[in-house]
Parts: sequence; structure tokens; C-alpha cells
Amino acid sequence: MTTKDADGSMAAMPLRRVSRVPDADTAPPELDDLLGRVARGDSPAFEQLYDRVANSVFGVVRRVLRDPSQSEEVTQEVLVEVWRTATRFDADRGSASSWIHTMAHRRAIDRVRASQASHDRDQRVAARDHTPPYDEVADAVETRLEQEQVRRCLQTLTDLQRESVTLAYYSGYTYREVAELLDAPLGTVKTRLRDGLIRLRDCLGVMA
Amino acid sequence: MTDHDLHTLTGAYATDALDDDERADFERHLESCASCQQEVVELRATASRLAIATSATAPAALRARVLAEASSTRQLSPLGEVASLDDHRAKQVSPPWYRQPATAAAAVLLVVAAGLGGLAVDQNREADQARERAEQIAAVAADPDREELTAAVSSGGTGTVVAAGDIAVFHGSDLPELPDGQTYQLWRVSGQDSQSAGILGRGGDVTEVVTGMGPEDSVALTVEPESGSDEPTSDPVFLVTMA
Repeated sequence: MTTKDADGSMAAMPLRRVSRVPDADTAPPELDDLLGRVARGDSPAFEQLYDRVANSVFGVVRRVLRDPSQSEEVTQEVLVEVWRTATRFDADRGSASSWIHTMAHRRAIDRVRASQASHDRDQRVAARDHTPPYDEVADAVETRLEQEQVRRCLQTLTDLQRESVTLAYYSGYTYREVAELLDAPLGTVKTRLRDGLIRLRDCLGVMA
Repeated sequence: MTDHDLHTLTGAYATDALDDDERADFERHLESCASCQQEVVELRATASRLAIATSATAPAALRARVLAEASSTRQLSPLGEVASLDDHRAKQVSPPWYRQPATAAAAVLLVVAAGLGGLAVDQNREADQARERAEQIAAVAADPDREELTAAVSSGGTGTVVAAGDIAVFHGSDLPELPDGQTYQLWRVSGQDSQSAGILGRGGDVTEVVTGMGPEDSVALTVEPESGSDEPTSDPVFLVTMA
């Protein structure tokens, strides 16, 4: 039996972030634990880790780079680098997820800045969009929840905060380029990037 | 830029929106700014949520390629210090240094690497030599690309080699005391050729620098008559070969 309100509609269940509150017996291993096993040369753990992060790594790399084959190449580079340097991961300096995605984003940025001529980048401005697209395949429930939550939280930012954050992070521009694109003072963009992320952090409930 | 200006760059840093010069400036500032470090950790975690939110299905063929490449890629040995936030970025895959895999004796390496920089120098040496040796040890200990290996010395005790570039630092600990008239001696071995790298005394804890290491060279420890030998006269009790 489900409980019904007086008007007959079903009571909304509170949305619980199941993925963040795992049941110790049945939950898949936490990414941090997997990475710890990878650091000890555990290949099956690396396969599990691949399955957990390949889509998000590929997603962010492709978001920045656009070019699918380059994105595939960089994704491969990043994931092999995760394997190679897992021994250097320091849980005191952030989560495994943060470590891996920071690496992925940085690699994509390095690639785009090294290889793309400025006119290519201008074209990317034309093609830019500022929110995580829904059609980007969200096979896992966790990813869908994540997308919804991030989208909702991005909406709590001011326009300038949101544009600064998304142009910098998703489109890969330096904050100087962002200032130019938005025709805003450098100092303002610098500040908006910071307070925009801080607001996002608070909205998402990010814990370091 | 003032410290305050630098502090407000945490957002640009966390989104990789700084150019190379500003990044370098900010990272220098970061080393001495605990609150910035904390904020960077949090903002990077936030940015990684933006990454997850833009997930896309990775090409199916990628999985096998990544797993295959990983299986033929040697993992780095653990570092003897807290890795900087950017340690993992943009490092090219380097070839394996040693034929022997790094052991799990990382804990020993941490202590050795941490202690190397501040080693008391051998008082029997000339001051210049001692200073040069201390500098070499410090440089190797601080090299982010250094390789480390710890293994048992067959006659007792433990040997650790930390290498970077053409310099290898050997550290022996708890080497059993030899009878009067004998000494431990360290060698750089290139093919058939052995070059003495130092006479280390009768045991205990010892550290020595080996210079001129080539890609195929070995570091070897033997037991010799107390004045040392021109070439090894006994089988090594410890041997590490660079690959």
C-alpha cells in the first residue's frame, strides 16, 4: 500500500542520495577504496574503476575538446595515468573522484591550448552552451541525479557567475578570455568564478 | 600581484582558467596559504561535479585499449612526500627504471627519503666533498621523478636505492657488523666493469652517492678487505639493476 494524500495523489517521496549513503553490505566499493586497490596493482579493481569513471572522464574531455577522436585519445591517456600514478593519490587532498576529474579536465585543457588555433576557439564560442545537456546519455541513475542537481544549482548562480564558470570549465577558456567574451572587467570575472563556484559548492553540498 | 589578489584566483585555478605564468605564481602562493589549499580542494571537488554532470558514453572499444595499455604500464612507486595537487598532471609515461618491481616497503622509503636531505655528513670527508654529496642527496630526494627500491641485503639488513637522472643514492640500514679487517663496499657496475662508489665501513646505517649511472648499470654491495678493493672480490650481497 502506498500512502495517499487527502486529494488522492501520491505523497512525494523525499529524494535520497542513495549513492552517497551506501549500505556497507551491498553497495559497490567507493571510488576511493577502488583507487587504493589500484595503487596496489589490483587489475580487477582498475576495471571496476574504469567502469565507474570512463563516461564522466570522456564526457568532460569531449565537452572541452569537442573533437571525438581527440577526446578518446585524451580519455585513454587520463585513465592510464590514473593507473600509473594511483600510488601518488593522497586522500587528504580530496576525493578520488575529484583527483581523477581534475586530471581529466587539466589534460583536456592542455590539449586544447596546445593544439587549437585561435580561430578554432572562436568557432567553439559560437557552438557553446552553458548547461549540462540532457541528451548526453545518462545511463546510470546516479548520473541523471547528478545532472539534475548540477543543473538546478547552476540556476541559483547569477548570470555572470554561471557564464564565467561554464565558459571557463566547460569551454576551456582562461578567465582573461572569459572577461573578453563577456565584455566584463578582469577582476569581476575572477571574483565571479570564485564566488560562483562557492555558491555551487554550497548548493551541491560538496564536502572536501 | 598581492596575496589578496592571488587568493581570489582559487576559482580560476580550480577551473584551469589561469595561463601558465599565473598558474605558477598561484601555486607558489598556494604552498604557504593553508586556507587557499582548503578552498582549492573544495572548489576542485565542486568542479568535478560539473564533470560528472556532463557524462557521455565512452566508446566501447576504449575499455579494452585502456586496460591493455595499463597492463603494460608500470606504476609509479609511492612518493616520500605529500604530492602536490598538480603532481598527477601532464607527466609523460616514463620507462621503468628497475627490472625489479618496487616492493611494498614504501614506508621505509618515506623515512629514508625524508631523512636524506638532512643527513649528517661523514666527518672524515673533506668539507667540499661532503657538501657536494649532501646536495646530490637532497636533489635526488626532491626529484619528483625519482625512483625508489628497497630490498633485503642477503647478509642481513635492508638496502634502499633512490635514483634520479644519473645519480643513485644507496642507503643501507641495520647492516650486520663485519669482523675486524672487513668492510662493505659499494659499486657501480657497467657490463663487465666495476667502479668503486665508496667504502662504507663495517655495518650499521650507511648512505652513499653513486654518480654516472647509465641505463643498464647496477648498484652492488660487496664485503671486501678493510682497505677496500679495486674490483669486487666477492659476490654482491645486494644488487639493483636499472632497466
